[in-house]
Amino acid sequence: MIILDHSIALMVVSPITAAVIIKFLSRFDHSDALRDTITFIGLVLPLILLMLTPFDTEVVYEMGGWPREYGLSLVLDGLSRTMVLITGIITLCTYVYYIDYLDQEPEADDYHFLFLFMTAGIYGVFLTGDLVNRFIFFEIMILTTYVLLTFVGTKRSLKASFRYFMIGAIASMMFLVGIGLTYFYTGYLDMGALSRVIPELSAFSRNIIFVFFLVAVGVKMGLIPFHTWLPDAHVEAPTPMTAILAALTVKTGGYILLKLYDIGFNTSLIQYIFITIGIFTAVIGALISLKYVNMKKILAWLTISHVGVIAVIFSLWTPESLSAGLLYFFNHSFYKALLFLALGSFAYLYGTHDIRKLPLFKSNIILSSSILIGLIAFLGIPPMNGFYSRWYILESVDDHLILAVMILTFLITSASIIRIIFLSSRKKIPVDKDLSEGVMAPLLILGGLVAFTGPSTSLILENIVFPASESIFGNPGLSTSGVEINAVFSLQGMFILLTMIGGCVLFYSIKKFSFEWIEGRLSNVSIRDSVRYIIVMMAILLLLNLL
Amino acid sequence: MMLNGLNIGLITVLIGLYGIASSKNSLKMMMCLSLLGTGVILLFVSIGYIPGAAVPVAGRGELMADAVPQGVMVTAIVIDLATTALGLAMVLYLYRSFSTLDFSSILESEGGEE
Repeated sequence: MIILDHSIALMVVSPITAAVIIKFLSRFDHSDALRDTITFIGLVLPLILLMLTPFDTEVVYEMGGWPREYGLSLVLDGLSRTMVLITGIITLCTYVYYIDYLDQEPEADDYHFLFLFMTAGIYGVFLTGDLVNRFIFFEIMILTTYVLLTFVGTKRSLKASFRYFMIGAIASMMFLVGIGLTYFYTGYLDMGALSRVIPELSAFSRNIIFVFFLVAVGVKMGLIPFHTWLPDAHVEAPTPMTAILAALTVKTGGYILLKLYDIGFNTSLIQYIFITIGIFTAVIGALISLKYVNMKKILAWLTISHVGVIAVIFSLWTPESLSAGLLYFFNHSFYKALLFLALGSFAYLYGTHDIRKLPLFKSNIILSSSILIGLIAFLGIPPMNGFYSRWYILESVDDHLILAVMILTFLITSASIIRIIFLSSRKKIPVDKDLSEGVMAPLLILGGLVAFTGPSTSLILENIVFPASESIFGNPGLSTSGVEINAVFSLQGMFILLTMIGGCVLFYSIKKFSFEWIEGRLSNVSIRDSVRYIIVMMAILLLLNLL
Repeated sequence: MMLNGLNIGLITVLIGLYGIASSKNSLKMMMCLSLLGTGVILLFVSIGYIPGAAVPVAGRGELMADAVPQGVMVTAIVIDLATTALGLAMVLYLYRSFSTLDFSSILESEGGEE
């Protein structure tokens, strides 16, 4: 079938086509149902095409028939298949969540247009086979994100969006400089060719190139001290965009980091600096989350902490750690999206994000159960997926220092989640608003997915995560035999359960500690200071390389 | 030779970065951002430059300049244009909402921390 031959290109093209049709339609009178149907088709078609492509082979699609080294190519291997699957499910759920709200908005057409272009950009980042196209698709994604962040139209969202814009634009330019230097040293832009050529370069020149990629990856992932855009952007964005930022946008940064390691930027200095940054990010991000009562802000800082864990795990760069990191990626996307969507509905019903005023467990049954599933998955109670992703991380790390830091991070994260559960309002608060089916459906789907992926971890690992790590290392490195039961009774499992008890203790004793000095420097940072942090980090890597 | 397009491009990029770090005014930040973009373009185009080479069109001679960076830059200029246009629109709305362009005082103005 001719469509199947071009299925990879159609994954990127179908959201763009739907966007263009909607922009054309908006010049005429049209019903909301027509617009929603076109958008839905544009978003669901990539998922259908993904199911139709052969599952166990690497497919390379050469645009216009030009060979891969000279032309543009799209690659669907195990890794990008996983990421496309996550993108498809999350974008579909977040879109359906917002339909009913959008139907009352006068600018709904523009939202649809931008949202579809952003989706196409995310698919492009995950699928493309060369560096420049990765940059272009990233720009498509992020330029539309800046506009979508301001969709609610508050002054604060404009502030957050402009800061994200400045820092993001600098990061994009630095990415482009890095690409230019890569081309200067090697003469290739295609990832396949680069993975042959770059390992032959000296470590010195690889580090010099990576000075620029460090800024790009750091800002896109939101690692401390490049994180300055992240908390406010999460808090001020409309609900579906918050879910997309936490579940997909920061993941594109992690994916670019993986791809850069894969093509040969894995010198010991780069790994060392990412492990250091990641350790600080993981611990400090979780600590700062203990200071807030705005639940969106707590979850945003916990996202930063998670990204730090992911950076550490990926930087170890062994098959075991890659598999564990990808499982963490996968699970984190779903429970974070679920939590943010459920929280958005709470904010709609009760008009606040303050956890002390939200009756998290005494509300609408679907809403309360989805936030409960999200929180206990986050906390890592054994049959849930959060437990298994933490267990595999502890299983895959050998270094004692990193192991200790991981356990410390899990402990502080547990304290933060337990704090959310304890601080939430105990009283039932009457509401006069109702939630529509459009809001319930994504919550049910995502809640079902989170509840399902925990007990069937070995299924997820064998079918989704292992093909992804095999496409990079050739072997997954981890085993799955009987993990669901055995993990609970192993040493690492005991440690994870202990971190929850330790989290309770920490939650009660946290009032004694004060970290205002570090918090004042890391939250609500102005653009000038953010750029100074960026310059300092570039200078540090450069100096370490010259020594 | 230090005075080639590559070095000047890199220096322009760093000047743009310094400009963003040192200016308070949002409009000045946008100007420095576009300076940064110009530096990147200069850097890229000089990567493809070969002394004495012909225009990269088939049949123009033995030695031709590298066409790939130039092709990339055409796209990057378009992206620069979109970025600048979006940024200026945001600056306009910032000015309308806060009546100032100083981003530090915008950050401290009402509607800051929750």
